[in-house]
Amino acid sequence: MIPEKIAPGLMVAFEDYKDGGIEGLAPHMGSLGLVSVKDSPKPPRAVVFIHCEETAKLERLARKGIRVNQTHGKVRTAFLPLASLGPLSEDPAVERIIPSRYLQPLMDVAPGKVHLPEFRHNTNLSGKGVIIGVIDSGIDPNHPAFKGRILRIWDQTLPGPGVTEGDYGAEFTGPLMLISRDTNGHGTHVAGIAAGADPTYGGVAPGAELIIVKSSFQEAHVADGIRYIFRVASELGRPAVVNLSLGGHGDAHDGSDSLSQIIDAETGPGRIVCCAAGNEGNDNIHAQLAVPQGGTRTILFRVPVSSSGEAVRSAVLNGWYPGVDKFEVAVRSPSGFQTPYQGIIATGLSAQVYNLPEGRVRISTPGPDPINGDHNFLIEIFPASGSPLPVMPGTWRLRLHGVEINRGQVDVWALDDNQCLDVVFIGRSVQDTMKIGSPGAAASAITVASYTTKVQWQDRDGNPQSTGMELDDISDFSSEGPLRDGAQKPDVAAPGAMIVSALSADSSVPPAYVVSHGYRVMYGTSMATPFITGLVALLLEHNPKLDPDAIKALLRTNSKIPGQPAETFDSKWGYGLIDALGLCKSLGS
Amino acid sequence: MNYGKIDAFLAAALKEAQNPEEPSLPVFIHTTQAVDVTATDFLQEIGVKGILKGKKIFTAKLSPRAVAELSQQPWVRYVKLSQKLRMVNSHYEKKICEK
Repeated sequence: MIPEKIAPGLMVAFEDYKDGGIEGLAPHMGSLGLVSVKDSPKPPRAVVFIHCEETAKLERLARKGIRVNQTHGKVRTAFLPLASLGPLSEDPAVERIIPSRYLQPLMDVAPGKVHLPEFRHNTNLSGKGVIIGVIDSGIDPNHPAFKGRILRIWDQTLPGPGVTEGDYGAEFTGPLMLISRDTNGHGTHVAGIAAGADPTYGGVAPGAELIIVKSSFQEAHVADGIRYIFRVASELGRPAVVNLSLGGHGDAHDGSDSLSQIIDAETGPGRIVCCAAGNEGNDNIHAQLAVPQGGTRTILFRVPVSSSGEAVRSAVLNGWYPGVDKFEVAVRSPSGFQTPYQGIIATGLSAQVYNLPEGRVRISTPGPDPINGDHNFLIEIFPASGSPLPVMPGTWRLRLHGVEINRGQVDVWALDDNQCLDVVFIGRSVQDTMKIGSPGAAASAITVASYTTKVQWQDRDGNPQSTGMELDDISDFSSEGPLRDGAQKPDVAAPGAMIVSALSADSSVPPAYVVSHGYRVMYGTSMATPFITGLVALLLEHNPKLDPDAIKALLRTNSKIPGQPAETFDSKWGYGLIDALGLCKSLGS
Repeated sequence: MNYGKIDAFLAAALKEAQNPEEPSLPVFIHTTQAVDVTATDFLQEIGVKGILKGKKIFTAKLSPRAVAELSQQPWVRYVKLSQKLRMVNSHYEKKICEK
């Protein structure tokens, strides 16, 4: 062994292990990346950083039971039996061995990175007296993190008489809440971040009470859910904040869609809605093009080839352009077959169907949208009539002809068909902007981007897991604003990757995502949103009359983009990562 | 049917609808102003719940025939098809898992 290569803390742990066996490691388990399960026959193991030459070959270490996770790089991670620490230090390519202190449960880390513990300590706020509404995949009502704090569940997916807001689904209270189950697990995880109570993985507002809507994810039902939560909260005389870790792109991306309009109408003093920005930061779902008067331009989009047996059932595009312009649109297949150009059909059914050899194309080109005055078109491509095959893979073309042009800009979004295979744009029209759709586009909603506070974790079996995301930075997957009308979105960033929170016992989870009994890791703006929802609950406990504008102002002045002046807006960050310590000062605590 | 009050997604759904009587279309109904007694009665008759004072947007699940009748009402501004939203984590996670 060459102790000089080993960090002191790890060396002490190793010496204690030699002297006291597994029991000797006990004082170090909480701080180092050590893995030792008392009842396991496996020897104690450690997760370490290895410092070495950029191109050092370390594969030979596998013979000593040392698993190095990367083949290149000056700093690599490795997983090894503690007894192999000596041989590792003796390898000439290894310069330094550092214990992995990063394998702390995330909720020990994420709150700290935004100074939530200081906020709590200074204000003594926990969300008590505030309702947190979660419209999602449901909740595990048995999970100890929520014990005694779920007031009602409206399960929209079960048969029943419904509630005031809609005559469908079933409402449960008390022990009957156990009838509703969260088989997906998303809603339970989200609720845990906002309001879970647990010494290790607790949420932001563990004193708040919950009203849960297990949703069908139909927009109209989500709207009914918002009204339901605010109505019940009002009957109870409580302020409420509703969490929407969901979204879509079949809208104008300017907040004029129905769900966004309902959010704007329903929110007010003590009635707040938080929405996810979306996870399309890495996906080419938005194309933008300028078309001159009399000119024709093309947007390319790709229907992927199925590699895993899944097939694209439909390709859907929704384009929007100013009401003062008029376009004709056509679709061309990979082999060159093309629909006729279809102009605006203001009278009569605006949807027409064209059968091409490689797919059935439905184009809808209605008159101006009565809400925002703009034109839009909908393109849907299905498998050819009678064909058992999926939509023909390859490069398809959307052709746009400028009939009457004053501005000439058109924005088009590719809509997800809810599978893993995405239809995406390719070529020069691709734009990494305007990827925040409904309901994140709602003017009054607090729209949340994701910040990465953790990129590695340890699963329940002690295996190190990691992602390729950049640590302590805005999450690359987080969707960019602004809105199509130039409005600033997202509003704020919060920890969204990787987040440990409550695991629904009824959900099925890959083992790599389970960190301990009852807790799992997830990531996305879905996870960032309930962080802010919980924070809003704390603010509402302090002042139940705060309205969306007041809360946004508090968040804006207490968020920051690293290296930028305060209150700088960025289309990816919003006004930056929230700093709860600043919020604390703003509240005068 | 007043097609000027039908959005692109609803127009596409109506094009494919097989049964004019089946309430298969989840929609948002935008009204020009807060609804009066006549409008309230009409909405209740087609199955709209929770018609509260001051609201101008309602949700319902309607048949193509009900959409047609609704679109003819002078107090109806717009009828839009409700769309399916999705959770904003699982899609990405699924992609990562497949890689």
